[in-house]
Amino acid sequence: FSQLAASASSKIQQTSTQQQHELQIKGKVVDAQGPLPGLTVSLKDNPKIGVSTDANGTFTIKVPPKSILVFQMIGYQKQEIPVDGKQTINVTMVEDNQQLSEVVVVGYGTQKKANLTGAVATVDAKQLENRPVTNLTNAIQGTMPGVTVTQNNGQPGKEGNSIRVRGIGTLNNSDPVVVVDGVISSMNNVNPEDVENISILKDAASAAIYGSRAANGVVLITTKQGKDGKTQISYNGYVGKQSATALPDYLPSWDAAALYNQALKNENKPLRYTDEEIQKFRDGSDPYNYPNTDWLGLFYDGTGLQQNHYLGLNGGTDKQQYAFSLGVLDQDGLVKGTNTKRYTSRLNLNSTVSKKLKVNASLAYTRGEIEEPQSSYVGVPEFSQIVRQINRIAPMVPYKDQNGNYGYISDGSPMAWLESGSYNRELSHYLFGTVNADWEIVKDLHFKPMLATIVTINKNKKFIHDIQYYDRITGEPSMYQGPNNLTDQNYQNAVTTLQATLDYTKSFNKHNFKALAGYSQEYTKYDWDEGYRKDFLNNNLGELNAGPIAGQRATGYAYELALQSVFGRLNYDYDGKYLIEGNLRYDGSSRFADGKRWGVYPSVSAGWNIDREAFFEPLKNVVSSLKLRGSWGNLGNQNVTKLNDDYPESYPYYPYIATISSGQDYIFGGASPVIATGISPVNGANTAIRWEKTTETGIGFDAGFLSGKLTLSADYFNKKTNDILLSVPVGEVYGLNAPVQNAGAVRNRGFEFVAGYQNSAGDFQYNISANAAFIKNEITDLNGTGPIIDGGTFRDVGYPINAFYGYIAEGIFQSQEEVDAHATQSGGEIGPGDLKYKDINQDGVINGDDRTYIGTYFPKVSFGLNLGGSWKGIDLTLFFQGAAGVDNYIQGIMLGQVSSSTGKPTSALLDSWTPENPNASMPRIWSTYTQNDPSRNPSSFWVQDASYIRLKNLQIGYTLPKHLTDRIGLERIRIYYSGQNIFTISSFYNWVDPESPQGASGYDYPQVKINTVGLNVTF
Amino acid sequence: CSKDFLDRDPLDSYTNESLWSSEKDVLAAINGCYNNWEDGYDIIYMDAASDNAYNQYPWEGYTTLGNGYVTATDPDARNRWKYKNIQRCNWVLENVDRAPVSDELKQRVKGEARFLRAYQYFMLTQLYGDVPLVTQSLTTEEANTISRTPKEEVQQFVLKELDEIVDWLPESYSGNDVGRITKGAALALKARLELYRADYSNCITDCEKIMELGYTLYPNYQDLFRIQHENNSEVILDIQYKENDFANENLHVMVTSSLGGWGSIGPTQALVDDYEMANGLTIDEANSGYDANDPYKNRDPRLTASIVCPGEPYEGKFYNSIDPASSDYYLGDNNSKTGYLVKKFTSNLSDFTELQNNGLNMIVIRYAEVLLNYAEAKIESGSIDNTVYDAIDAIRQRAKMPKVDRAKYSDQSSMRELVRRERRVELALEGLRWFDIARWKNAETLRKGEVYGARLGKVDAKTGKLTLSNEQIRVEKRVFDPAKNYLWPVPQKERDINKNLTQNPGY
Repeated sequence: FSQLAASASSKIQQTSTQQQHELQIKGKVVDAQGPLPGLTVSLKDNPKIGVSTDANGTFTIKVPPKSILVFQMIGYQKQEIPVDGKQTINVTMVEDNQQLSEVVVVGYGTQKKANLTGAVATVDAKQLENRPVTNLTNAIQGTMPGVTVTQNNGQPGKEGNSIRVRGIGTLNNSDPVVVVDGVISSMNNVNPEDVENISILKDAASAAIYGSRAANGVVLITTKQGKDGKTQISYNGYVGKQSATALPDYLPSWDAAALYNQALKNENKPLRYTDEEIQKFRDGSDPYNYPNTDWLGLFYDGTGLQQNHYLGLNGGTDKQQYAFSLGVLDQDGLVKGTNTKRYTSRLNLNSTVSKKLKVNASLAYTRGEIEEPQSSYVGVPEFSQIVRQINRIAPMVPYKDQNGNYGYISDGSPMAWLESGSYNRELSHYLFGTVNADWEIVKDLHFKPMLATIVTINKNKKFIHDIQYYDRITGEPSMYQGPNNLTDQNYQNAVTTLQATLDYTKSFNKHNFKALAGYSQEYTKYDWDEGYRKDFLNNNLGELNAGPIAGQRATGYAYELALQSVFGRLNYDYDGKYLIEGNLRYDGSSRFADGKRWGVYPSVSAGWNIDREAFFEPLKNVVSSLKLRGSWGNLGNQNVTKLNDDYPESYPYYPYIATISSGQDYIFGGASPVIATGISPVNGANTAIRWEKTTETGIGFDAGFLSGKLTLSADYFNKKTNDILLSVPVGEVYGLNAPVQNAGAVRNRGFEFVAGYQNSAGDFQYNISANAAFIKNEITDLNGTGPIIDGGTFRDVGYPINAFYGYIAEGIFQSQEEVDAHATQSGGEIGPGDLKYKDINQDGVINGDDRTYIGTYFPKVSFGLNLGGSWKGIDLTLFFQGAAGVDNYIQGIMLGQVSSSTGKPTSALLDSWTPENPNASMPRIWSTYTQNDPSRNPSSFWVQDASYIRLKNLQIGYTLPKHLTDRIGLERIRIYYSGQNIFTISSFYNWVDPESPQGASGYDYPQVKINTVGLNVTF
Repeated sequence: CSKDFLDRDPLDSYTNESLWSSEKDVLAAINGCYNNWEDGYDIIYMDAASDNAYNQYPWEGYTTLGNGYVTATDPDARNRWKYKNIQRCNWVLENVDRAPVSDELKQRVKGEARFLRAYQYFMLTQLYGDVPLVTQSLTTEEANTISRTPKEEVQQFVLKELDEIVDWLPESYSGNDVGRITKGAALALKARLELYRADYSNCITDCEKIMELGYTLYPNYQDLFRIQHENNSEVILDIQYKENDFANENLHVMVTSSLGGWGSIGPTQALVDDYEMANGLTIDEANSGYDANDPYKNRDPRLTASIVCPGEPYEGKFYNSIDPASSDYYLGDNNSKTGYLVKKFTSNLSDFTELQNNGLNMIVIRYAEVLLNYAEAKIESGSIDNTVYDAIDAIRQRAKMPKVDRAKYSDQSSMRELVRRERRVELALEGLRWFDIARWKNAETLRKGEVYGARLGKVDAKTGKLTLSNEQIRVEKRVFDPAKNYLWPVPQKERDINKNLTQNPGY
């Protein structure tokens, strides 16, 4: 009783003392070099009370005797010193070498950044915040050197992003492996706002612990974990509007008609339009028969509105912590009927069961909905088909005729399709569950088992409505696109991972050891089935049972994959100066025959923290830190691309097993036909295939200057992939889809740089960071099979993968004499205005033997630039991204074509060669002749520089002053504007988005520009 | 334990080791050889590679094959460079002996496989000349280094194969086997090739054998091609289709826009002009009765059965491709660019619920061709006897045409002219014309220069009466180099892969 009373009374006393007696404290602050002027000294409990040190580094402050002083300055580690009644406090500040304390997530663990020996790029939550992106892949674009993100299009839910780490390393699938909270998974289902940080393991040394999976790099994603303390609630939300970054510059109907006539004239054919008809197009006097239809305007008429809301809860005790989040995204596209909705939720629980045992569990669920209109074009019920037809249907075709019926071409009317209500609805459920434990068996020996399951369930429903068209003149029924039909697809992918690691840390004297050993196995089961019925009574009911059984179809298939691995890692450093790491992984895959199944992947890397050496001390004024790194390692790949694009089931899950495929049916029975079940070998097999192997060596350095204000990292790497798993094209005489072989080698060499600078001037703080990568891709071996030519691209030793291949254009023929004097060309009647191709083999004939390398779409350099600044409550960030020294190929679809019903030339074709316009930028225009066609006769004429720079993201925010937010009981309120793809400067056609891989295909939904306003609130 | 975990076998396909254990397996394997053994698409487009028709859309694959501008890099060059079914047949032939089935069935199955393989080689050599001759499964290395075997050798192989299997195959099938290869099909393909090779005596012998098999001409020429009369007594071999399950998907390409089609294939004026008058005189003969201002009247009934001409009743109205005010005007979109439509397979659109999904079989060999082969072989070998006239008369009379005027057509040269015209008219738009003009070596005159279509004018919507102007549709200008265009180019794509494949001259 007495003790309690005493304690209570002393507390009262203390309080009164504090209030009554403030101490005046004096002191001097120095660092290794001497006094530190301009340093802030403040009171921890009330940061408003604070002073700065003077020119001699001295300060005077009045504070309560029991308080804590905070000493801070950019470039130095913050210090907190309790006053404890002292009247003089002298402080020596330690330079803040961030790298000393920063911890980086690596494979199966973490590592101090200072002790990293491999090439690892990281992004933290801050860099991902508030960008109006709909997925994580977009959010990391341009943030790291050597990590290339491309977005195929802007269609809600179907952006089709891809990530490439240090170039395209293989001729196969080049996607890096994605690990979410320790489990191999995918990026698509992670809400960007749930992410705490991302590490990308770029080189073999750091990725080798993932062995067979890691040849294309590893993306490690860590989600936000609970923190002990008061429950913190945060809300982030934005609303925005999308618009197309650019649309093709199609000509009006009169120009399109005149150009078609010009092409017919060039080809000795009767003209399609009379001058009077062209005049009618021009003057609009007969808008049904001679219209000028703005198909793009009709089509891109959606609202493009999107909104995103995110609520996060975070808190816990010292024993239990939780982080819980809910997110919802709703995005309407630029085309009516395109929409995606995504609901994400995640619960991370960390529990300390005892001093020796911690248990963690994560549960995440994402529900995704994508909706898109469908085409009623028989056999091609795709949304991309509507986009294609919009890019194809001529302005001379009316949207609707005088009877109110749709104008149409042989394939139908894209607007009739769009407005018919045909839809594809994709619903996906993604469930991610993992439980793991950390048991410290004896001191510093941890056993970490993990069980994880990821189940993805998809249900696609395509309901294609039928359309009756009517003759424009008679109004009678004409073409019918039908019958209506429903395809119901269900598929499920379940991956179960079982993993356990054992790690041990030991230090004595200045020797530090870390060892890790582990086992993992992964089992994948994929099931797919599909039901189809047609000829529904009407277009209202979209369930199978509502349709007749006549003509119904059912299909289904399944496959299994299994992987098994053991791995180990050893780290050693001496006094943090000399670092060395070794990895070994042993992987087995079900895709290879017994005996070829297992592969070994070793790696070693080393580092030297030179700044820790005594001799370096004098340099520390300028160079505050410096580390050299070097690495070598092996990685594997078992993934192969599908054998034949036309058959999804030809994906070689069992590439070593010769199979006989079903479904090779025929019909017998004459007047009463019946299906005769047929089987045949369809895919070639190869029992000899084995792991594809990547060997990568690299060196690099990390340096800090001016007390860490300026940082610079540089890396050189040489990555060579051998025994590439490839279905090398085989002659048609083989009769089967080409089997997978270990054929060829690819090398990627390059430099990566990242530099950052941060500083402040008064209240103005700013930072700049820039990154750039120079990567050279080259095929170094094809087992003697090259060149492998595929239309306008080829693969051959000494050239980049899929480089452009074609004739060398020597200009445009100006006279018949010039044509006659030149080697014989074909594809039509060659005349003045045609492209002149180089006779490489000088045999007097231009044919397939005169084709050669004409360019590559690999940029010489790709770069990103981040600018950030803040002043009082205002913050501003700009993020630029681009590529230089990159070619693009002008596909015919980018120029548009001339024809009648599908004649849709762009303005580029206006400057075509005619005798009156001999200095034209384009050859004479063509319709059926192929000699000038960029697709049928690829040539260097169509290879153009496509360097670009794009303001990818611009953000301006304002955080309300603390005293205002305090008044309403909130911790923080920030409002912001954020824009994505704000502007682009490109040397290519401005309607071709430079990010679209290898240019627009005409089937693609455009890229979008997004303007949003948002709100961040923390309670 | 660890071995079990990684042992995963395909869940939905068979392996060769587990197969060949029952009759069911054997039948499924031979059925797989029939899958796409021939394609109705190629049959209907093939005449666009001759002087009979024009394919207006280059992306459909036959425009440049018709106008002479095809190059080795064009995808069109690959239209018929097909070995998939050859490989399948080789596979069956290599394995069927393992199966515990009767020798009789084995023999039949081998006969079917060897026929289907021979058919591909027949087609390959006709179009490409020398081609690789593959009679067993290849490794990828072999497939990428194989050379072309001379055309002569490949065709000898085809003839030998056909000769050997003739007696292994039944004369006919019943029930669910109708449509399989018969003895008649083997003999007919052999006779066709012999005629093409000018091996007239063997051709005559084989035709005579077929004549003993009981085939007859179907009484109605137009209905012969309709779905209701499939597998009739005239059909020797056809591609079998079934709605929904293995459908003929291409009939719409021949139909005009106002009826929901694409007008892809336009018969030429040259073809239309070769139809005789109903009285048996050609249009340019004196007193033929031909009226250039009413040109489709009183013609060989096969003209109306095979081609829709302006002013003719078709699907409830009078077809009008020659007047700008009409939906079917030739310059309009998805309308035939010659002003004529193919009618042969689409004479009654109400036969089909869906033009792109129906069960119409496409005839590959029919008895009328055998009779014409016989007649031509006899004429060319100089033995013009009654059987020749009888054969041609049978065909003409079935078509409601008068018999051959034996006084007028009495010598070899007039008979040659007659039988060639008869072939063109009787077999028009069935995909055989190119082979004829190629072997007669007159493609250099017939498939060259301007291609014309119908004469423009007006069609009375109520009566179909024509009022023609003097303007005739000019379609395109074709080139033909006899040193080059008699063969298609070996696809560049194949030559890129296999450096041992040589190219045909001129490409």
